[in-house]
Amino acid sequence: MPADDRSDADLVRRAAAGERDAFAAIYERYRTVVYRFARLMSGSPATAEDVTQEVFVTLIRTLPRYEPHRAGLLTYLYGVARNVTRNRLRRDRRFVALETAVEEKPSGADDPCAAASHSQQLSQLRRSVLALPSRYREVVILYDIHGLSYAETARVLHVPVGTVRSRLNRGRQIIAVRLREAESPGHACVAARVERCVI
Amino acid sequence: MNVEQSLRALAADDATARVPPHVDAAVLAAWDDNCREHHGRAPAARRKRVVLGFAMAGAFAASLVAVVITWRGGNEARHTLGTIAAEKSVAPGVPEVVAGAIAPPQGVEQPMAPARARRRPVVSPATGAAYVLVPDAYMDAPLMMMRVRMPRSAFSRLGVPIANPDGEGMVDVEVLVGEDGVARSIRRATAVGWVDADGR
Repeated sequence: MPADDRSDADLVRRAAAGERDAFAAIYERYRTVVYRFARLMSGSPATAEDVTQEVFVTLIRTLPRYEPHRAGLLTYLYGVARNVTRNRLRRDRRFVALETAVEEKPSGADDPCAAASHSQQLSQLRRSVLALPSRYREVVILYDIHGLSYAETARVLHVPVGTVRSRLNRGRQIIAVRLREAESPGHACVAARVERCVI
Repeated sequence: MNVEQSLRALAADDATARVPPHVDAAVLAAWDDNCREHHGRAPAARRKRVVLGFAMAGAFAASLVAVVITWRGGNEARHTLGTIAAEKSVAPGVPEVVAGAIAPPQGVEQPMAPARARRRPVVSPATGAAYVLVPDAYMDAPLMMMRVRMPRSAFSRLGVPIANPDGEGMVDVEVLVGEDGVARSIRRATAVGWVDADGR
């Protein structure tokens, strides 16, 4: 599908008027962002799919009331995705997941050993991010992985920029500690266990 | 590799994630459903409101007409009975209040009943509890029930002796009156449902 150069505000206005193409363009533009955010937050592709669906269904229902001057569309979608994911995780923490690890794709690298090592490092990193408390996890995901600025992250989370900085710093420290622990000998038997912090 | 580099590598790996097609289909289906709900139901809801409005207006008009007819019929009936009672009966054996409503004994001319009533001069009182029906009354015509008070003695002269527990000499009766103001039947009113808070 060719890239749509229409602005978010224009697309939202048209979608609110009932234009299916406009909504499809919005969905095409932001579906991956929402899905990736939900997948990193939850550690589960199935949960990420549900969250993505729910976020855009919420957008469909709230389009007539959406006010572009209050928040950009991406910020709004991040905010909805954050709330939906947190609700979902809170609801699901009573259950023990059968599948918690994100599936790993086969690597096309020439060196299988290096590819395996890289894949293992990424898996460990995913587990470390997943084990962060959610207030640190969302900052790390938005700033370090999704590439938002401090200001954008602060807008999504409704916190001051200083809070974003401090949480980011604290989140990185926790990840570093966990990665060091994972590399230490004798940790291998524990490393396979995936944990997700729901606090 | 420090944490920031690791996170950048994770971001590069995560950028390859794609939304499964069934999610796309579900979201767009939700859009279509929402559109159908908004653009399809609104006219139907408006139609329903219009129909409901017409129905309510019709019901109101019908009830208004019924009230007017009932009121006019009641006035006419009351006027007829009142006239009859005021003019007294020409026959000495005919009770005062029911003289026009219930025909006098055989051979006695009805003084001022309408033409249709004059053709039904016979009364066959049965029991005090049941309505006393005029044999050839036009029962297919609309009737209205009136409650009147009459002397117990007049009621007894019709052949229905009535006990008089109150001792006032008056008895409540219910009369079915036709559109022409002529009584079709009469019975003693029973105090069903008139029990007060003390059970009396």
